Amino acid sequence: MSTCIQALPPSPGAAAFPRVRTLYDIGGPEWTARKSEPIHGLPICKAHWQPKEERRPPKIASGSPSQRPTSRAAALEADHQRRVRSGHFTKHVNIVLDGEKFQFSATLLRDLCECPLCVDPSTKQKLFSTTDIPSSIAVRSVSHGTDAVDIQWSDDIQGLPADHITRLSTTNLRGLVEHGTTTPWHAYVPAPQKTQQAQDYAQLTDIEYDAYMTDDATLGQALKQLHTHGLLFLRNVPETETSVSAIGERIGPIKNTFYGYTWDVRSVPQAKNVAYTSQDLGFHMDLLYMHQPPHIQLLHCIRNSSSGGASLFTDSYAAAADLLATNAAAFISLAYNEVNFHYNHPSSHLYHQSRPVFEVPGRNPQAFFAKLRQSKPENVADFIEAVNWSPPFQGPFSAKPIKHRDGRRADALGPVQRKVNEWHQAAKQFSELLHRPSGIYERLMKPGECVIFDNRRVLHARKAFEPGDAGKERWLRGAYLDKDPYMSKMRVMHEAEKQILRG
Amino acid sequence: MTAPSPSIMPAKEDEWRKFSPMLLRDLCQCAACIHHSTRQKLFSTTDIPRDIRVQSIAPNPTSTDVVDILWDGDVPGYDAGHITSLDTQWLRDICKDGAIPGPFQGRPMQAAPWNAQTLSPREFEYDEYMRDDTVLYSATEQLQTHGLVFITNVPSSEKSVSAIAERIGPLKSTFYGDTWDVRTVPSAINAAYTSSDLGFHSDLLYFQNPAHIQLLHCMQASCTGGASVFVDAFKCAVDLYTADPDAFDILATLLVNYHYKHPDSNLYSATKPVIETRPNRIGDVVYHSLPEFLDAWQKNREHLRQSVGTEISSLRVMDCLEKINWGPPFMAPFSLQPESMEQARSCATVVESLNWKIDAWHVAAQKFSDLLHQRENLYERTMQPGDCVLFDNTRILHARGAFDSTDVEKVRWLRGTYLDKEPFLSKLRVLKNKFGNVGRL
Repeated sequence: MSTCIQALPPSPGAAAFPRVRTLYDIGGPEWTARKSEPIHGLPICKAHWQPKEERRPPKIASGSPSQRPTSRAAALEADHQRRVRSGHFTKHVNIVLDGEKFQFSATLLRDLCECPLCVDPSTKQKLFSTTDIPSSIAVRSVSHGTDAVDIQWSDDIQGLPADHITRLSTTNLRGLVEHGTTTPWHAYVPAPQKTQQAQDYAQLTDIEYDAYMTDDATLGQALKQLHTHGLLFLRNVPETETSVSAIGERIGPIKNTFYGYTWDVRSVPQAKNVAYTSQDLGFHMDLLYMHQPPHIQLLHCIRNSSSGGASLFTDSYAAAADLLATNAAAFISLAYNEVNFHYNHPSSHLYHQSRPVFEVPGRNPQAFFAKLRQSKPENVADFIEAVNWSPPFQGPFSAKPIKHRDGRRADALGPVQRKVNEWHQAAKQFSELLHRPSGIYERLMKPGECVIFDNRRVLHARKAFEPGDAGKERWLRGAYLDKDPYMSKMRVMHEAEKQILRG
Repeated sequence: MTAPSPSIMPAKEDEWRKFSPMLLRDLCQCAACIHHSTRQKLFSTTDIPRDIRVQSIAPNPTSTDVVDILWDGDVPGYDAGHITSLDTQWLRDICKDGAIPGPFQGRPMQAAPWNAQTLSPREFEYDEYMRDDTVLYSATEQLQTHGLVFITNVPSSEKSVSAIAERIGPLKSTFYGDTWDVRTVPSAINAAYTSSDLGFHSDLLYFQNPAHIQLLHCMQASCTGGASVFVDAFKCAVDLYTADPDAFDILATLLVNYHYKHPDSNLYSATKPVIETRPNRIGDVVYHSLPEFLDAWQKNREHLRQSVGTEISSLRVMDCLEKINWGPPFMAPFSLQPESMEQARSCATVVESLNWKIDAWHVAAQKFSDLLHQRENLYERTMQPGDCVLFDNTRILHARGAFDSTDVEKVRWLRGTYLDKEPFLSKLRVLKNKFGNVGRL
């Protein structure tokens, strides 16, 4: 299944101006096949950058989490003291917005230029690097219009004409000042996620396959439901092998794995995966031994078994939220301790990943825990980004040997034992919450139905079934999607909706 | 608290160690605990009752290095005859390394920094690469340590690049396709100009999970110029750390945005630092600064060696690097983190923070950019038809050098594809398992 696409067509106005930038048209389809202008020789490399003569010991802020319950990146951004110490780097530009005067860094505004010399109109790629902006850049003139501000520069990037104008819309500038961003679409999420019980799932209506495939509004609704509820069912899906990939590709490119682009779930002798047997299959998620496990899983029922084989679904976020409420220490233990997941077939595939049961938002778990102790989160997205639960694929516990801070003798066995016992205690509680009947949605998949669910949130299981006579076995076909294409599609749908509303 | 743990003496050391029954029970590999063909666990760790006890430990009748354990209060569904047989070497390894031996343990192959002088990239013949697993092992190993490998005499078929990639693992499919084409036609010279930026970049920076390996197969290159240029950005990051740790810290901490902005079809965005480091954690302490972390690591290492005899690897800055995310054409406008916005008291503060952010980043990034473009760091190679390059897309930056004046209207055609990280590592482990680590680590 190999489709080749041409690189993007040349952009019309691109070759008109003498260009400072090299034209990147190497490797990667994102490089346009524009008519490239040659660069003479290799670029002039600036003289080797000399390190400072006197080297004071480096002072790198290592903020303690208890004082500053925030990620280090944000802490750095908000560090007023550091700003005062370092002084201003580039000149400032005075801009008036709604009567209020602001002083913007010249670099910041120059970086935002979107004229055809700075951003390619067809590829939307920047034609200059932020680092091309000279430190000495300054403003020659600023003129405030009704909707935009025009700026002309002195000491601009080399090679640009003297009449180069940077036009910045007041909408964007206002966005910058009020929200700290000009690209709010990056952060778009539909309505907040809400934890689901069995009865909530039971009340969802199935979506018609035809509408999902042809009507954008239906697709948009389905994607939103996947985000807020984590689960949806399609009905009247054609009984062909290609249906599941059609359904997946309606969202984005399917995730290719060693199981294939699509895969069959059938009872198979000498199975490589217990899913391919007729055994009872406990609650789990797929492919947690991957670096990035699939975000979405699709299962299309072509044939069901003569008896048994009902599917079970549960919202792990609901159990996680309850665990946080009743036993925060257990929650933190499961967010902190990493366990091993593996696919252990030495002659063919050896996949391994260490991850905690709860993945929490932000890049700093310690700061996150400190924050958690201070305030109760309102939305589930505030304390959970993903759940990792897949007992059949858990590998043996391990822990790095450490030297104890309290002076006890260093060892390697202690950390492992402690982890196993601590994890067991916390995980057992979580497991009990997961298996509460009120949370388990049971549904016997019928031929023509396709379930789509969030593989990092909804746990799925399957009851044992009769393998069935040859030719009449239970048969489902499955596929996966990654988070990146899914988020992209959601954003695209959202932008399209906004357009329609604008009329 | 768990019930009193049994004592087992590792055969070599004259020392009794207490093992938690939980740990031992979880390690059971018998046919009732691990499925014979799927190798998946047939019980969950959480199924083990908290008060499970060892009934008896005895040496295995057939093997002296194995102990047999019988249980009291075992996992429900297991009968009294359930025996857990454990290799004592496993127990010794846990005491020493905190993990049982296996393909997932042990020191990973260390990345070796290179520049134009020190790099002699391995070249592999296509036929041998496709046929011979030892050649594949060498190639993937080189990809791991140096991030750059060339395959020569590749058949000029459109299928070649996917064949080469699938020899390692399943292709990473994106909206560009499973494979994709890059065609360039140099035009007449317009004006002479120079630039300090070659156009180094990584692909798919706007993905939260960018591709790990990029493959480019040269189908046609009738031009003489247009050489491919590669640089080891990890090495440049290490150089930056040595020369200016503050600049390194800025690039490793401040988050920048990347995006692919086509509202009709694809809207991808990701926020990440230019220098992405591995999690800096020892035990339960997370270190925010690399110098502190490296220092603590070294102290831990010395202490472990002295007190327990455990040898853990030393750590260089190079070993702490996870990815370099450098791609000026794909950078989105700078923005503030939501947390900063929460803390900001006024719009003026927001602007102040943003100003500082871009200015500080700008200074640090210029220093990094200078290092990337130093002549001695650049490895140049003119791709010929039949050449295929494989490189680590999270470490090696690539760009294209100048075309010749004689290249006007000549076509250059490359075909490419991507691989994700886990399939690549899996292949490396399988091959390492097959050929053993004799003489290599």
